[in-house]
Amino acid sequence: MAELVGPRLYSCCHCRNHVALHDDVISKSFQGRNSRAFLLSHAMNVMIGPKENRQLMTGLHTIADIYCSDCNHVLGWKYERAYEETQKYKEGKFILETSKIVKENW
Amino acid sequence: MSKDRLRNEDLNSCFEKLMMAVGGSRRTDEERVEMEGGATPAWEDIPMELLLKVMSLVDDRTVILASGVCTGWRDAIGLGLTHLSLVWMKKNMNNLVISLAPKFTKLQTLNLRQDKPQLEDDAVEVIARYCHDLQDLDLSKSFKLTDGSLRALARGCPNLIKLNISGCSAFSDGALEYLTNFCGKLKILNLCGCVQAASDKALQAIGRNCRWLQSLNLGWCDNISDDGVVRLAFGCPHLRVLDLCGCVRITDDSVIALANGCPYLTSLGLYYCQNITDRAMYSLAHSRIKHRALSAPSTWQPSSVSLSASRKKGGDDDEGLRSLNISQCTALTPPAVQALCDSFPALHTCPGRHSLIISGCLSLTSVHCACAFQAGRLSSRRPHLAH
Repeated sequence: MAELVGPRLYSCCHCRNHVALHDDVISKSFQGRNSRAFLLSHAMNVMIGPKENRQLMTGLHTIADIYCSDCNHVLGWKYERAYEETQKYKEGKFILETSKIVKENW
Repeated sequence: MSKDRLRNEDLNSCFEKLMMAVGGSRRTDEERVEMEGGATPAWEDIPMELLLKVMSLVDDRTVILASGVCTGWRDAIGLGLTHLSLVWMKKNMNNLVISLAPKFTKLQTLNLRQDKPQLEDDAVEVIARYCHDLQDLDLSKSFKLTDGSLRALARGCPNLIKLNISGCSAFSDGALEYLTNFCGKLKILNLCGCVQAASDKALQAIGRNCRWLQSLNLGWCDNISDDGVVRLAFGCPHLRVLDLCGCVRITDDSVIALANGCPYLTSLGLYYCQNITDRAMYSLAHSRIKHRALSAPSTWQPSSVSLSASRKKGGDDDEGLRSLNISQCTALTPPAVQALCDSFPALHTCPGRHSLIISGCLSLTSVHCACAFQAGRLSSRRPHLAH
């Protein structure tokens, strides 16, 4: 079979469901609950939970936890609203914790 | 033993019926009598068209085996085979190519992509000597090839339209220049990783000789500078896809030249070109407006109205940029990239379709395509499945 080089993907660590493209990583220097985390512009095959207000290191935000669509493990969260002007750039973006995702094929 | 004989008889009767149906009119009376008499049917007399139809349905290894069955089949397959792929070969690709190329002289598409480098100059020279109709050649990851191969290909295969020599790091720019002098029909060229071959001198030669070039991949060729790209933009007006990923010496001047010289550009890759500034983005946006004004002067209207109009009537060629990779171009600011997004309706940031890649550019996260903006307003309250 011809070896084809495809897009670099991240997968859920439990069920290897594809959740993100490497191209969509905006920043790698974020902090999740337990480990480092990536900020992404897009995530796929994830379900978004209910919104809640949470006080994070950078201030108050409205976030929603994201779950893998296959195995339902929490992989990170999505920023729905940010209450400080300097944090507005995060709105609509996704956080995936590095402990919950693995590199697929690279 | 008896089961084999039975199966053989089944096959024979099937074959006879087939031969009667297909090749009946061509047989002489003598042969027809012989077959009716129950003698072994002539497998090698299967019509060439039928044999080639069967070959088109099986894998490449079987085709090669079939070409060694008998002289009739060898000639038939040799005359008719146009597509061949040897990517599945792990060890002896070089020797196989040397033995096959003289037989398959009508090849148009040949895929010799390797996992382990096996191909050497002598195999490519044999290809160039026998396969003059070659249009599509993939030699990617052939580390062992040297300039001799390129020169041989130049002389032997002038009809090349698509050439992939990515990963062939031993080629030099002189040999690539020599190739472009002979292969003027090139439309798709992949030089990803050919650090020595892709130089400004080579780009100049490509701009001079390959007028019809549509797709060029110069990924990781960090020797090229604005000089080469400007000449390329001037010489290849039909360029649609250009990948300058990792070409760190490129500055705004290259992008400005591309904006002015290549109106049909649909995909541009500037990953890690950290010298790119807003000037390049504005030049692309303005060239688009100029191009639209020139091509449809009667329907040109300012800003948002024209966007929806063009989306409705736009033909495929006039779509403008569909895909742009500005990852790690940290000097860019949101207003410039937003202006770019506004001028190219085919550039998307909405989930599922996004084609503007801004990995590593924290400041550009506020840039949105027109559809993302509308979708955000509509579905703000319902929880939904992210794409």
